[in-house]
Order: sequence, then structure tokens, then C-alpha cells
Amino acid sequence: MRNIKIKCLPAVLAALMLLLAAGVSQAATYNLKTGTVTVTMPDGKAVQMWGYGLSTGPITVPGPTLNVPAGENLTINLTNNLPVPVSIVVPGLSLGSPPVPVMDIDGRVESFTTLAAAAGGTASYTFTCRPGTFLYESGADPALQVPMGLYGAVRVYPATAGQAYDNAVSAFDREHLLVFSDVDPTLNDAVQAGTFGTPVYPSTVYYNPRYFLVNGKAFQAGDTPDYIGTDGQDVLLRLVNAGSLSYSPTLNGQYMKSIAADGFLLPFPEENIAPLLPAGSTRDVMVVNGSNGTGTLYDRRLYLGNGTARPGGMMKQLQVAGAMSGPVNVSVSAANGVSGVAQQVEANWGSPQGAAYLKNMQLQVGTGGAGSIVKLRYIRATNLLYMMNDTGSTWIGGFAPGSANTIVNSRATLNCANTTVNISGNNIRVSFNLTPAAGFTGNKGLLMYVIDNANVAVGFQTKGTWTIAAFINVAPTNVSVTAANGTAGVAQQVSAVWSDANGSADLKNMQLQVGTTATGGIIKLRYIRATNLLYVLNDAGSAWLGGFAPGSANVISNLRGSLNCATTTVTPAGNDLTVSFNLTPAVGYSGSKAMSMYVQDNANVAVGFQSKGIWNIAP
Amino acid sequence: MNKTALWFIRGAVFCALMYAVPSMAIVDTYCPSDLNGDGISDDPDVVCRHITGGDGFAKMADGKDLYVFGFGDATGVPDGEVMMTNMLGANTPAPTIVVKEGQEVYLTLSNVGMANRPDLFDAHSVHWHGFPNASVYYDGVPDASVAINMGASLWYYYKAMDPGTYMYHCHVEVVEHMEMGMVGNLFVTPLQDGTAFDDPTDSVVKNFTKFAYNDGDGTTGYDVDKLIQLGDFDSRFHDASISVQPLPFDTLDGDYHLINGRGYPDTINPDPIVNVDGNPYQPEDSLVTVTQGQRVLLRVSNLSATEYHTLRSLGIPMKVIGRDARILRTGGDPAGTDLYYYTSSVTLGGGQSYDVLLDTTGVAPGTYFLYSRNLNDLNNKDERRGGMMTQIVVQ
Amino acid sequence: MLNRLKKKLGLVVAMAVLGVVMAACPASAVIQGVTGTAFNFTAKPGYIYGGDGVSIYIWGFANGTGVVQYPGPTLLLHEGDNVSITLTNSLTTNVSMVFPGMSNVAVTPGGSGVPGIITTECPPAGTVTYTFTAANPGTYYYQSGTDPALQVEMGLFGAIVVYPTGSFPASPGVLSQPGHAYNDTQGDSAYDREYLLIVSEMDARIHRAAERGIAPDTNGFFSVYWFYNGRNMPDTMGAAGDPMLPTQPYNALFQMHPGEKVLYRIVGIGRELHPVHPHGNHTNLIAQDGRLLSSGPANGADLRKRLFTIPTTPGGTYDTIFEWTGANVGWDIYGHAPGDPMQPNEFAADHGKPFPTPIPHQQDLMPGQLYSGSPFLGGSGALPPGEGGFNPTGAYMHMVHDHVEKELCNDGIFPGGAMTIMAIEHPSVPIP
Repeated sequence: MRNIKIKCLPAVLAALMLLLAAGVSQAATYNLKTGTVTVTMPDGKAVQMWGYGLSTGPITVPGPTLNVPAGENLTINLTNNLPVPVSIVVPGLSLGSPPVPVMDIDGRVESFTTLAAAAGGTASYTFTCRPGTFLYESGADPALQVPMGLYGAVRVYPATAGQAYDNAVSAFDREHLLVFSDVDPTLNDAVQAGTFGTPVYPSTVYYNPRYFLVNGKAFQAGDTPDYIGTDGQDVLLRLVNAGSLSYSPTLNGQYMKSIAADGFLLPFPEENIAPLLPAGSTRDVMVVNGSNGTGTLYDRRLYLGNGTARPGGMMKQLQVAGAMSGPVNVSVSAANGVSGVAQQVEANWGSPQGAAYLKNMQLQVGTGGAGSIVKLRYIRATNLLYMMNDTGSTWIGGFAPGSANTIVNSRATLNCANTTVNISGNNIRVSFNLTPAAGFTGNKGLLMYVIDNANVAVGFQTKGTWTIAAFINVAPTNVSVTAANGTAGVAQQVSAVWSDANGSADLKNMQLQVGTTATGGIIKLRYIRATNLLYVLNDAGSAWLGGFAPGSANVISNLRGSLNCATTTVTPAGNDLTVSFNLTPAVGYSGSKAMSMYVQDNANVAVGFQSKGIWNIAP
Repeated sequence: MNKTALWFIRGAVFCALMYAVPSMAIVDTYCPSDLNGDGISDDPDVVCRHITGGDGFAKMADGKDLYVFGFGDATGVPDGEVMMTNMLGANTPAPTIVVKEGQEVYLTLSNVGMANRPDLFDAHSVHWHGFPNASVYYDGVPDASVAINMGASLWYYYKAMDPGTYMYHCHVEVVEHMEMGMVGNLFVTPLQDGTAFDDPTDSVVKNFTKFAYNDGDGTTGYDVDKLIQLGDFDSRFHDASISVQPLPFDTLDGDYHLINGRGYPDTINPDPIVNVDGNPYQPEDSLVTVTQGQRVLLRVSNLSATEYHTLRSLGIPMKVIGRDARILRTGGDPAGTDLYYYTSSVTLGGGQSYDVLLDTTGVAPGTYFLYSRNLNDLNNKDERRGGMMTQIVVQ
Repeated sequence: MLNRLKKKLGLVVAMAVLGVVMAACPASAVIQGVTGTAFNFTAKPGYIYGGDGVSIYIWGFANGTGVVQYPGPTLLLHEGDNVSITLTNSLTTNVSMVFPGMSNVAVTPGGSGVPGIITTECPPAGTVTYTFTAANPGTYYYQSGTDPALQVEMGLFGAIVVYPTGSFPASPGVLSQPGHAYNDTQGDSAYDREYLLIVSEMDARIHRAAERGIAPDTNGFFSVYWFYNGRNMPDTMGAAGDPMLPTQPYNALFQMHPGEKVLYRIVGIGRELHPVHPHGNHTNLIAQDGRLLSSGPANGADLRKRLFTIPTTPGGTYDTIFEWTGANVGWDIYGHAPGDPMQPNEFAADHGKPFPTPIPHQQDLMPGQLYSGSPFLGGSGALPPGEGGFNPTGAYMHMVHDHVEKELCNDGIFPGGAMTIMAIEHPSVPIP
């Protein structure tokens, strides 16, 4: 263990100030902006966050890492596109000479330093730097703005390359930055809805974080590890806590040697299993890579869930290997399917250099020649989905995930509206909504291909199997109909349930008959699912009246009763479809009326009429 | 409530106490070096203080009047007047006691009862937190020694052997009494005070005559010191207390976050904060005002019953030179190796203290900030821009 | 008023239970555990008692086919031991073990192990053998490496003590013997007595959810129970192996004589930060996480800190030495007259000095159940009828407790939680 003491720091600080006064320092300059960005958590929750970004790039949380070369100072030119004024402070570096806090009308501090006004305001900040790891964050209304996402990291380099502090104790072979933070989605939702500061969410005294992030990403099974070097290397982990709680990162149960905290060298290094990283602080720890493999860094305060789901939260896998791996076809899975029926196929691609390093991802269903496979493609830079055409000669489609488009070939249909792409951390996860065509059945291999920005490609690799059964049409069923005792002239709901084992979308034509022709006449009702229209048979029994949608302001009548479409509802649920007809038996149409049901599916298989109940109508 | 009603209630409770309790119950100051009967020690090596334990009210920064328990100051108050004067006299925080290394301290604790809760007959004690080799009798843990009942006085003796930043608090029903506010600080100044040392490790030649510890080299020297006591109140608990409801121990979680018993911006108000009774019982601000070039000693402690706090200094680096009332050298020994370190924040759980120097040499005049970086602490409950924050003004 | 009475009654009962235990057999918490180098553990569900008498569902480690225990069995090892633990899983979910700070941690091939996120895991009904080398002396722990947010909360953890060569206790679990905790030539880690203090906490809702097979919400964690060595006060001060607490075999009652060096091996095994405050004196923190606080070999514990509150952190261990002699209190703690003989380790300068203050009338005082009636060490004095009798040896009972005061409750009932006593006995009183 090295026995090195910190140099006389105030002298160093004073020397730096003299340097500044003499005007010899250059500045690393960053043009930053602020804005909003929607981050989707692994459990699907979409959270609107505030963040910093390079003026020429996207908004990210954490914001861009600001790197300051040796001997330089840091200047940030900020353009603020948020609806509130913001600022930037770097704890541990200068607060401005002199500091210029902004006080509000009640004499309370609104910002520790100069504000960039809302909606396009600008401000510049210059920081006298010393080597080390620092946090930058908003200095305006920090209790709100920092948890909303306004934070990032600063790395100031010393004169000696390969060190963090111009001191041999900080010599490293490789460095890795880890920024920890927390998110209370209820706060973000309230800010987005304009209800923060009202009784809905009066202040952040109620802050209750549910997501816990490492470099802006909550952990998900299947996340591609970060690469941290080769066996035996000395790795500097720059730990930055932008959150509001203390965390205790731990790695594999191996010792982490802290050499500095808050950008100050410690008087003596300290070895810990799970060093405490208080809110708003930084810590530089050295670890020695063990043999090749993947280790898990996780928070020993055990915030390891995404909302209520686990595993998740403040975890990050780190990989030791001879070289950083290229892109990875991580996994693909598809539940057993049926031709003609849409389902999701989940694919996960990763890169240790970050999701933005993935260029082109492809999923192939089936093997053999072009005529026997389905090939799908996602291009990250353009955010577009494609399918290979039947002959394999060209890509067709080119639509964004979520857009109302389908891409079809003779073997499958890709529904872009129900296809989602999640890009975060090191991974791109695509959930394709695919419908295999009739005849595209059997055990289909699932093969993956990926190529990254450096044109390193992997695949096609077989990563799974999708078993697609031929569509077997099962006859639909008339399940039940219920009607409470009624009174002629009085409206009531009559609820009929039909079902189809192939899914309620296979139901085509459903009919409900009240009464029999022999006993006072019938009221015959019809619902066509594909067009979502309701009908009543006319008095003569020769034609269908109406053709209106459930919920529309229409009434269809014959002599024996009327159907009020406005209060008639249709509710599909799984294999079932429930129609709740709002029926008024005509005055004079009373007695004990038998109810019978008919159903026909998309293959024109029909069942009925079957007697299913009695409706007693009092006069 | 108005003052007349208050005096009436006080009188009634006082009488009730006097008649309900055997006539031994009597307030009695013990100060053997008090020659003229004024309750103040006439021997320079002896300090006598008289504090009272009871209830009262504190004003939160959002205007909330919070029911509290606390210690009040009765030093110099004639024994016969203590009950009347100090009923509802809880100070938030408790009076800060400052003594010199080597002095003997006689502390009288009188229990003035709970005027707002006449159903409570709680005893009180004083636990002098951090006092080394403490005997059990004077340590204040009621289960292991004694505590004092209403209307009577208990006498503590301490010999202040080690300089540093200490805390004291009641240890009777400790969760309740500490949460309700019976917490205070005690500083012991070192023998080295008065001698001149120029800190060889800083960038200026300047003699200090006040030090946190007997450092022998001036490295803990300061110009101005400031009490920074971190604490929290859970208003639901305090409201339940005054409404004679069951106390919600299992959900204790602070919603008022305080420095020296106040939330921002009351923390920077140099005047005492006056409570609903019109009494200035929150006397301690945490506004630090210094001249550029001076060194400030922040005597930081956490007396919260519920949480940890990370206190950050923005713009002026912290140098930690003491912890838990010991100089930050090997084993707390002035002869040991320096373990001083620089940081932007210190993190404290309950019962910890830190001595932090802020050196304003070369620091541009202006307003800097000392605040909790557990950002949800920066509120006075529902009121934003409040809580655990104060300001450092460099002139 | 009634609530007040109930609370006071609870306090009286708690103190009475404690007192009976103390009076009957002051059995201090000699470090108990399992010895050897090959162990068989079973992960299984069970129940413990909170200090409020409530049954709490847990998952824990049992030694072999024995009863599950909370915490798991403490491993007592020799420096350099190569250890194997064969884990059998009787839970319905995967489980595993990790050994922070140990060397050469590995999994023996051929078992049921499946890859997990943090380590190789043992599926239900499976068996996995973990091996490691206890290369360095110190205080360590093991915990589950599977879904730790739930499994550590549920109780799947235990302590590991690695003794330097020559310091292994002759009668582990029976007698505490002097030793040293590290191989430091300067003797900073020497002790006369050692105690283990494992600090943990629980959110009862998570245990109830697990008991009912409902997914628990570990991110929403809010604790209501706090434990020293697996028990809440007052059980912390009960006897070890108490048959009323069959799944909580360890206690946390400490005893010493003035002048002794007592090593507290503190393990922060839960997920919360706990500031442990021993009354009576500062302690010397000499090591953390099994590493002597040293700036270099042969420097001894030159980075040791003198603390009155030990700020334990999740996953951290703290070795700190407590001493007490009554030095410099300014009066004779034995109540001696100047001519009386000195006690061992008595502070000579205060010998014979009189007690400095009057003592209030008995009826003005609320005496504690553990008060002997006298302020002197080893003394006893008159107490009101019905009070006392629980400190017949006149020990100085110094509380050791978490200083986040709300942690001194058992699910909302005070007193309880993370609190225990260090009884400083008169030199003439034997300590088993």
C-alpha cells in the first residue's frame, strides 16, 4: 500500500488562482443546452426527464461528460430550452468570483449562481479547475431540478497521463465513469402535468424514488456489460452520485481502494468492500481486474428493483476480457404461435460501447433460401424498420416503430404500430409484432445479425426457435345471455357473451333473438365485428335495419322493440366478446320470451340458433 | 393562546404539581462555588448551569406552530421562580453550553412538567453524549441510573477533560423525547486557547488564538466558530402528541428539516425566532458571517431521531480536522499522524459530530451556501425553498 | 392516559424481563458459531420473534439439518483456512452465497449450480459447494448473492470471524479469551475480550408478502424492526441459546472489567446505515472490512480513529476497541475513602475523592430497573419498594445502541430495537 500524503492543498489552490490571474489558462469550452427527454424504464414506465445535452446533440440523462485537459479551465455556454430558469454548479470547483446567487422575491435563494432564463435564455459559466472527478448539476431550485435529470460528470485531467491526480497512487491502466442517480416518476409526472407545487405534489419532501440508475440506465436482465479492461489491469472507477440518497457500490465482494473523494486526494487510501457514496459526492476507487469474466457492480443499499420488479435498479455488469467485444446478438424469444395470429417476438442486441454504437440489426425467422424465410431489419440512425421481400432482392418498408404501417410479404406481416424499440444503456431491444402467414408453420429457427458503427459484424447466429402451429379453426360458441326481469316500455341491458378459442377477433357475425315467431314475434339483433356495427331485423323479416356503431347516438326500432346504440357496449376480452344491448321492449310486447343465440366465425363456421335463456317481460 | 390564559394554565399546573407530589419536590440549584446565591459560580475553574426540562412550542419556517419538548435555560433564575418562569420554556435547540478544558461543571436539571399534557408525568435526564469514561449515575440513561420527576431537581457533575464538539440530550423515553426536541450541544474549548500559533500548512502567515483542539501547531485554529446542529421533526408525531393521540413511532420520518432548530430562511435570520407564545425560544441562527481571510470552525452534529444528512459546502472547501470530539489524528491523539482531509460534504448519522474548517483566504466576497444534499431536505414540509440550508457570507 | 399507562407498563415489563435474565445468569455474548473447514448449510424458511413477541417469517441458513437461524451460523475460522460450504436449498427460489473479502472464491463443479447475475446459484432442492480461502484475519460476512434486495432482507446472511494464527479461542462459544484481531506487530488489535455485533433491520411488510407468496416491494423499503445479533431489545440482553427463541440463538449482552480492552466486531449486514453508540467512552476504530487501518506494513493501525459513534454502513465491518477505567471523572467511582486499597486499573488521581453532588430524595427520582441504588461501581443502595434488584453486582450498565433513535422501537413500540447493554463489572465479580 502506498504511503503518500496529500500535498499542501491551499498552496496548490492559491497557485492555481495566481495562474488564473496571470491569464495563462486556456479553457475547455462546452456549448450545452437543456431540454426534455422521455426515458422508458425497464418495466415500461415512460418518464419525462429534464437533461443537458451538447448543443449539437440529443438531451441525455446524465448529461454529456465534460472532459477538461490538463492545465485548462472549464467554460460552459448554456442555452436553456426548459420552461424554468436553470443554472450549473460544479461542487468542489469555483462558484464564481464573486459568486452571484439569485434570490427570489421572498429573499430565498433561487439559484446559487447566474441563471439562464427560461425558454431560450443563455448564460456562461467558467470554473477554475484542478484534477479530479466532479459532478455538475443545476444550481437553480436544486430540490426539483436535479432529480428531474439535470446532472452529469466532469473529468479534469492532470499533467501526468494515465493518472487522475498527478500522484502515483492514482495511476490507472483504464478508467471508467459510473454516475448513480434516482428517479421518482410521480414527481416527473406531476411536473409534466403542471401539478408540482400544488396539493397533488406540493414539494419534494415527498420524494419517493422508485427507479435507480447507473449511467442513466436501470438494470434489466440481458443488459450487455460494460468493458473494463484486461485481466490484471488497474482500473480507476470514477463514482459520481447525482442522486438524493447515499449509495454503497460494491463489486464482486472485491476490495475497492478509495484514493480520492470529492476531487480531493485522501490523505491515505482506504480499502472497502462497499464504500459509502453520499448524495452529491464523488469518489475515485481503484480496482484490480480479476481473471476474464463478468462481475456485477451493485448498490449494497439494495435499491435493486425497477418499481416493484426485480432484478433491476442500481446494478451494472462489468466485463474483463482480452479485448472489448464487438456488438452482441444477446437474445431472442417468441412464445409458440399460430399462423394468422399476431404476436410479439422480443429481440435484444447490445454493444459494450453503448446502444448508439449499434448500426444495423436483423432478425431472420426460418432457414433455407430466400423463399422460405422472413427477414427483418432495424436501422438505428434512421429509426426505421424493414422486411426483406419475397425473392430476397430488396428491403421493403422503411417505417418507424409505432407508426401506423404494416410491411407484408407472403410469409409474414410486420405491424409497425405495435412494434416497439427501446434504446438505453448498452442495448437495443426490439419487440416485433409479427403475424405469420397461413402456411408459414413449423419450428422456425430465430437467427440474429448485428453490425456496429465500426462495421464489426456478428451473425447470423441461431439464438432461438419459434414454433408456429398451423391455424386450426375452432368453432365459435354461444356462451350465455342474461336479462333481468323487465317491463314493456322500459329500457334495460341484455348481456350476451360469445367466444372463440382462436381469439375474439375470429368472431364475425353474432345474433341474438328474443322470442319466437310463433309466440308474439321476435326481436332479432345482429353485431358484425369487423365493421363494428349493430342491426335490428325489420318487421317483415326481410332486411336488417340500422348499421350503427355501439356508443353512437342512434336508435334502431321495429314494432316489437328498440335498440339504443348509445348505451350498447361491446367488450372483447381474450377469447370472449360481450355485447350489452340496451333494449326497450315495445309496449304490448310482454311475456316469457325465450332467448337464442347464433354465431359465425371468419371461416364461416356457424353455430345456432341455440336456446340460451329466458327474458320475462312484464306488461 | 394568549398570554393571560397561558399564565393561568401555568399557575394551575404549578399548583397541581405542588399539591399532587410529596413536598420533597423542590427546585434547588446546586453550585458549590456560588458564594453569593445568584446561581453563578464565583470560581473561574467551575461552571454552574441550570437547565429545565419541559414542553413548549417552536415556529417552523412555513409558519407552523409545532408542539415540542425541550430544555430551557434557568441559570441565575431564583429557585422559587424556576417552575413559573420555565414552564413552556422549551428552547429549540437546547441551550448551548460552552466550557473550558479542565473546568468542572455542575449542571442542575429541573423538571418543570408538561403544561400542555398534564396527563404526562415524564421524568427527564441529561445524557452528555461523548463524555469519556462516563459514570452511569451522571450518564443519564434512565434504565441504568436515575432520572428526575416533575417539580424536582437532579444534579450532574462533569469534569471537562477533552476539548471538542459534544452533544447532550434527554435519555428518558429517548425516541419520544429526542424527536420532540430535547437536544443540545456542548463545546469544550482547549487549554491551548490564548496562545498564538501560525498554521504552517496554510498559505498565509497569521496567528490563531482560538483552536478546536490542542493541536500544538495551529492546524485547528479558527477565527469564528458556529454551531451547526442538524435535526428533523416529524410534524405528525408532534401533532399527535399535543392531541393526546397514540404516537406514530413506526412511521417516524422527518418533514421539517432544521439547522439549529430552524428551517431556511429562518436559518439566516439573525434575530431569535419567536414562538406562538411570543417567546424567543429559537435563539440560534446558522448564518455565518466572516471577513475574507478568516477561518470558520463549523461545529457540526446530527441530533435527528430519524435520519442521516449529507451537509455540503458550495464554493468553499471543507477541511475536516476533528471527529466525535477528537482531533483527526491517529487515535484522536494530538501526537498522532494528521488524518485531516478536504471534502465538499460531510455525512452524519445521529450522534456523530464533525469539526470542519472553512478557510476564506482567497475566497471572493459574496454569499455561499451550506445545505443538505439530500435534496428532499430543502423544504419546510409542503413549502419549497426551505429546510436544511443556510448561508455563509464572506465580506 | 391509558395509552401512556400501557406504554409505561410495556417499559416496565421489558425491563423486568431483562432484569430477571440479568439477575439469574448474566451470560455475556461470547462469540458463538461453527468451527472447522467443511460446512453444510441449508437455506430454508422459518420464523423468528420480534421483541414485541410477533412472529416474523424469514429465510435463513441452518447448519446442516438443524433449525434455521437468524443470523446464519457464524463461521469461526483460522487464518489461511481453505473452506468449503455445501449449500442445500430448501427454498422455492434460487439461493446462493457470496463471501466479500475472501480469496479464491469458487464453485466446485458437478453440483446443481446455475449462472446468476451476481454468482452461481443453487436452484430449489439443489446442492452447490462454494469454496474460499480465509487468507487474512479479520471480521467478515457472507450473504446470499441471489436477489439480494429480497434475500438479505429476509435473513440470508451471517458473520465470519477469521482469527490470526495463535489467537483462535481455546473454547469457542464458551469462553472469551484474550487475543489479537490482526497480525499487527504494534499490538493495536490486542484485546482481552471480544464481542460480535451484527446489525440488521426488517420491513415487516416484505416478510408478510413473502410469507403469502405475494411479490414484495423492496424499493419501497421502510424498516420497523432493528436487530443486534438477530434479536430486538429486550431479547438482545437475554441468554444465548434461549429455548424461547429457538431460531435466534445469539445474544448481544456484553460484560467487562475496568481496564480491559474489549473488541467489538461490528457487522453492518443490512441495507441501512446505523450509527452505533456505546455509552461510557470513545472507542478506537482499528480496522474496517477486514483491513487494519494502516498506511503501510509495520505501521500498526496508524489510521485508527477515536470515535464515540461508529457509523456503520451496509456491507461494512468495523473492528473497534472499547476501554473503560473511570479515569478523570473527578471522583472515586468505588466510593473509597482515601486510605482504602486501590482496585485493579483504578485511576489513582481520583482515588478517595468524594462524590461531588447531592442525590435527590428517593421520591423525586425515577430509578431504572438496572440501577443498583448506588452511584458507585459494585455498590448497592436503597431503592423504593418494588424497584431494582436486577443489578445485584452493582455493575455500571452502559447502553450500546443505534443513535438513529427511532430504531429503538419494535414496530412502533418503545423500548426495543437496536439496543443492548455493556455491563462494566466490579473487578471482584467474575465474568464467565
